[in-house]
Amino acid sequence: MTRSGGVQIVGYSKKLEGFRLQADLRVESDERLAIVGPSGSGKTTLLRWISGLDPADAGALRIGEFDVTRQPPEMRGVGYVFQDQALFTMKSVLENATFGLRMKNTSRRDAEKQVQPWLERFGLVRTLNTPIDRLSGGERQRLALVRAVAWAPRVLLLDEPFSALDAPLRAKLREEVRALHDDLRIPLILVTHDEEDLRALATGRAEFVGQETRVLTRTS
Amino acid sequence: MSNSRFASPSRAEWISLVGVVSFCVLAFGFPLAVLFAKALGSPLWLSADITGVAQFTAYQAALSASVSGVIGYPLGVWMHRRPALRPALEIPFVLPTIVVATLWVSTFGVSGWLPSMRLIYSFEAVIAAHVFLNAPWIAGLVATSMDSIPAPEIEAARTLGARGGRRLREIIWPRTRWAFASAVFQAYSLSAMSFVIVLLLGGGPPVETLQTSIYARVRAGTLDLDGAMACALWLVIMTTVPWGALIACSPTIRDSAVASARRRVPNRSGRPALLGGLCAVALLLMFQSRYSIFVSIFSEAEFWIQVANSLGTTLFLAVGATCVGFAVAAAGVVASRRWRSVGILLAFPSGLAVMVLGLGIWLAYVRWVDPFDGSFIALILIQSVNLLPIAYRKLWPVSLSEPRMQLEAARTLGATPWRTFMEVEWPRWRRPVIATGMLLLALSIGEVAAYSLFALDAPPPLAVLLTQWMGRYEFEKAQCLGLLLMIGCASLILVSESVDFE
Repeated sequence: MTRSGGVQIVGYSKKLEGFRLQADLRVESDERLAIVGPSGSGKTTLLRWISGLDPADAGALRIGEFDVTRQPPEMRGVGYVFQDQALFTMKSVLENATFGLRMKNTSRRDAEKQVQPWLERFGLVRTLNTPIDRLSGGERQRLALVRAVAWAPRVLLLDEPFSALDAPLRAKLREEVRALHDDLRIPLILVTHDEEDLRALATGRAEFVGQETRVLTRTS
Repeated sequence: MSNSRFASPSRAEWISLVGVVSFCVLAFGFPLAVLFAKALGSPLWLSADITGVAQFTAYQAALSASVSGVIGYPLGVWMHRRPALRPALEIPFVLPTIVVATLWVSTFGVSGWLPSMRLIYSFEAVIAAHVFLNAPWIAGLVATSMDSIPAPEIEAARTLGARGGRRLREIIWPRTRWAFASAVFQAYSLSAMSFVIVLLLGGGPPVETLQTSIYARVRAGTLDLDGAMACALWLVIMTTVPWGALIACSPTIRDSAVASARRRVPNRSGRPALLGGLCAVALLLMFQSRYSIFVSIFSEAEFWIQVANSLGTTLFLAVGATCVGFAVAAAGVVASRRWRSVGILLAFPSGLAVMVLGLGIWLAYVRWVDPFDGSFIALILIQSVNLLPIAYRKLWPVSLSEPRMQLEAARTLGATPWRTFMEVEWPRWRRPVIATGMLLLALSIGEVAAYSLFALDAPPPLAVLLTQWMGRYEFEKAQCLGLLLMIGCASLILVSESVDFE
């Protein structure tokens, strides 16, 4: 079922050191768009703007029917999986997973009930009270995914989510993310420079083209 | 590769251990044991008179710490995102306590700026002055502990819908609560051990704490040694038991607490411009409307003669205490690389009030040390014990980053142990050593309590001269001297910060 009307970026522009980023783009709710490019090309910068964490010089952002350009991150309804996961290390697995729901004032008990299927699906039920620093790399990544999707976001942003994992685990997680997106059917924007991610996961591809002015352009 | 932790202790480590333990036993272990034995031998410590003072001290300290915490925590959170303003939190560290008291009188006294506020010679004045000193300390520790929160965690919380209040509760508070608790307990201890503030701003007997009570029973009026010992016993209990309980029940501060000193130590590299500007504001406050009086006092030869006479005593005591404190702390650093408990031993004096220590030394070494005759050795001993935790705290982190491979490389290239030390070790120790020395010197210069117990025939140190002038209502002279003391101490601390390794 579609829960989001897609993401639309209009006239995004940001001056960075040595070049300017520009983007005009629409990502549909059933789409998995991969933004590719080498390190330092501006991929994460764009993702951080979409999430509301960094400002832009110009540009508007619509998520579904809403213009969220001026909204703070906490109001945008974005599920963001950070490159280094950014898990709350002082909290348990369960507290991490339920965090977003609790921020919506869902009671602790209800939040725990709601995340239970996600935790089961991603094999985290046995680790509920494990300290974050004792989780394996794969478990950490799964938890970051669960945390991002459990609070029913309107768009899912993945910033090089598999970069720290070994090959077999990456392949497994790609499958899990793909299945997850098929169920959620919200726009998914993935930042990567891994060709395998593109082949296995993306339904569309975009990259910053140009030197002094880099324009985000769909290439497939 | 060899690991020195598993090798046999070297001769230097053994010598350091013996030196540190001997000093600690002689300087505060034995004196405290004697004090405790004598105090517990008398039922006086349970008398209503003494317990009343103890209760009042605890109430005063708890109130000071609570108000400081209530103000300090939000201030720290607010300051954390304003790095340009954070050095302002260091103003109370730069000012010796006696200068703060002088500033207070010159502001809130009868002839001051704000006499209508009545924040002088009262319980409220003592609390307000303690809050002025301790709230920035707490704020600084909270702001520093917030530095350890990974920015991505805050960002993740924001993307998951956490607004300001929720982020504070869910992310910031769990990360800062133990640092905050530790800071509040430190504020409590400092307030319980406060001497100059209570003496000068309390206004007399109604505001009598254990520290001032010890002073009064030993130095003012009839000698009441039993009463002083009973007060000392309560003060030790009051300042060490809560601290021990906090360390025992807090998982995150247990290790760091060993190296933490309970004195006011600037813990960040300063930003001299802003700090200088803020000091200028304080100077202005002292000068306001009294410029002509200040000029006339500064042009009096008598003033400068008294200052010059006292400067000799001040420097003698400060340099002596700094050298002894530094040497023992340095030996402690060498020894604690092998025996970690040495760190705990050197942190212990943080909970010892000067009066308690002085009384213990008097009782333990009465054959050689008599407060009524005065004693340079006792004064230097007391001051150096007080400086120990700070010196150790400043030097210990440097020892953790031993450049083992460079040391081994130097040895294989033919360097003797001494040359190895001078070529490899000394370059990284030089700045911390200078910074620590200057900080200790600045802190020694402001010391009053030790001298109050062991007064000498010689001219008093500058800080004590200032209190004497305050006591004789020679406020303008006291303010002028306060200004000089402040400039001296602030300069030393600012130079210390500018060369600091942190």
